[in-house]
Amino acid sequence: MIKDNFADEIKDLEFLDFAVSFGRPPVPFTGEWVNKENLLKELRRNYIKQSAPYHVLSKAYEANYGNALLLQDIGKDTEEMIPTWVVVPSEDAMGCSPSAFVDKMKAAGVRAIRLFPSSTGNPAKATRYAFTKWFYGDYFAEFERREIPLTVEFSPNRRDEPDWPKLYGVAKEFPKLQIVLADGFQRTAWTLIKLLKECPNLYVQTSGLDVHRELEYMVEKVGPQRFIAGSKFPVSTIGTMVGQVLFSNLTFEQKKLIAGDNARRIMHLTMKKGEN
Amino acid sequence: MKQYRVIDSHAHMGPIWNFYLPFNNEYQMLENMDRLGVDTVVFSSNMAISGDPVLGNKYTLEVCRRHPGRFLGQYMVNPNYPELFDEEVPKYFAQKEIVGFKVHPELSGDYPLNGKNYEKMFRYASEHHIPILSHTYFGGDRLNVFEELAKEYPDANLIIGHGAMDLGTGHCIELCNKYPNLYYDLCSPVNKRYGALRMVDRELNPDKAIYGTDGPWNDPAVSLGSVILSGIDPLKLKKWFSGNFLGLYTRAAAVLK
Repeated sequence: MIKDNFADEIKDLEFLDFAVSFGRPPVPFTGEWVNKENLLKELRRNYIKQSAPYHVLSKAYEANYGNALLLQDIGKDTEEMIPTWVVVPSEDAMGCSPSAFVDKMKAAGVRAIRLFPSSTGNPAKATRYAFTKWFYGDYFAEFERREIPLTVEFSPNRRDEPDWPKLYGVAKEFPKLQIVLADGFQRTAWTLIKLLKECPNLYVQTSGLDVHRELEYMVEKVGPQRFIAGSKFPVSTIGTMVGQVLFSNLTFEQKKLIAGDNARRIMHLTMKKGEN
Repeated sequence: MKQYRVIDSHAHMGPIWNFYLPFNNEYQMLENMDRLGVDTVVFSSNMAISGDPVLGNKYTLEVCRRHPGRFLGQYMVNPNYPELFDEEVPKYFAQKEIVGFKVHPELSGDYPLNGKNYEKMFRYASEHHIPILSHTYFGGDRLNVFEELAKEYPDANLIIGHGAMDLGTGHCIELCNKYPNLYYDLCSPVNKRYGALRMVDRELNPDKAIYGTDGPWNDPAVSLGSVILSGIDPLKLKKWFSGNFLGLYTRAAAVLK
């Protein structure tokens, strides 16, 4: 049974919220948006040790512009906030080759990439960039070579599904590219299990798993190493992510991997203990 | 020690045809309730909503009887079978375990909530003080329909499922504040969304929010974590988690006293 005061339990799990953003969007979801300071405040209020934010304008305006703002706003808070950049599949847009782009990432301490590829189910909110080898391939090859994890967010409608054949294709064509599937996977447990078994380089962000005890069920089928905690704050509350992991019927070791250690592993972050 | 008495007033049970719901039977849901500290779940079975309504409502009652105080039932009215109302409803509400009506216009073939085949339910609910929980969210009726019904049946308490999140959270809150017989269902996704939860906390009459999760269609751990860690005043959370429910569902309060 959950206890009255579970702050210590949350701290012990050393959460790293892999799916947060800040910045003023054109349409704030239910009226709310946060700047970096408010994001940090909310993360700390929920006892979250670290996060991997991206800037809203990297998606909503221009990747390079948002990426630069992200670094500027994070400033010296790099221990708690590990920057995530957004990329669009064009050297013209990014202003350099994929290789030079990753050089810049490494120099800036950026550990992960987020993509917003096209979605046939929700074209009004998605890009026109196809999630395929022939479109994004030169970037995928570089991320694979340099061990940069890639999060894919399809901006789905409520009952939309991701483009399973494209996901499967990219995962097979780049077998060492670590791909984290973000939104759009609600109510697809059996599809995901088959996909995860077929493609060992795929991971699932927890915010997509939201039917009854789904995280527990899937861990039983494919192991805890395949799940990355992410809240989608400020769309969802950070408590959604914490509750899902903390209150699940899993061991402490399994929860800790999902809460943050899996994300740290794929981002090659040194794991420090007892600093929360 | 448990800080809150938690009553999940919007739930279901059993499998569903188009996707997989893990651990969806009564014993597996009960195990989860014990782990989370959920005292009572009020549900309408998935069989009643998307299968055979006669078998489904029967199953709901049987489960409630097997687990006194842990499960209470909502009788699902399927408007496509209007002949069942007179035949079944008085019998079901003669049972203490059945405490409310559930309607899901979207999964009943988009039958309108103000349609002819729901009229008997509204009259019965008015006469017997039985709350009606109606689905909204990407399907079902617009908020003006709820407003019309609130005026037409002032003695029928109507809970706006999922807080009508896609129809304008703010407007739904205004209606619930304005009409004494309209209530706000905090069920997913409202209870998971940062902005919606803050808006409800700020603007809604604190006596009008009823906690629910939509389990097993949604994960109760996610909703519970979101609300408990929201930073909202614990006294208000006590109302949301069970106080308001017990005030509204008088039949349930009698069973759970």
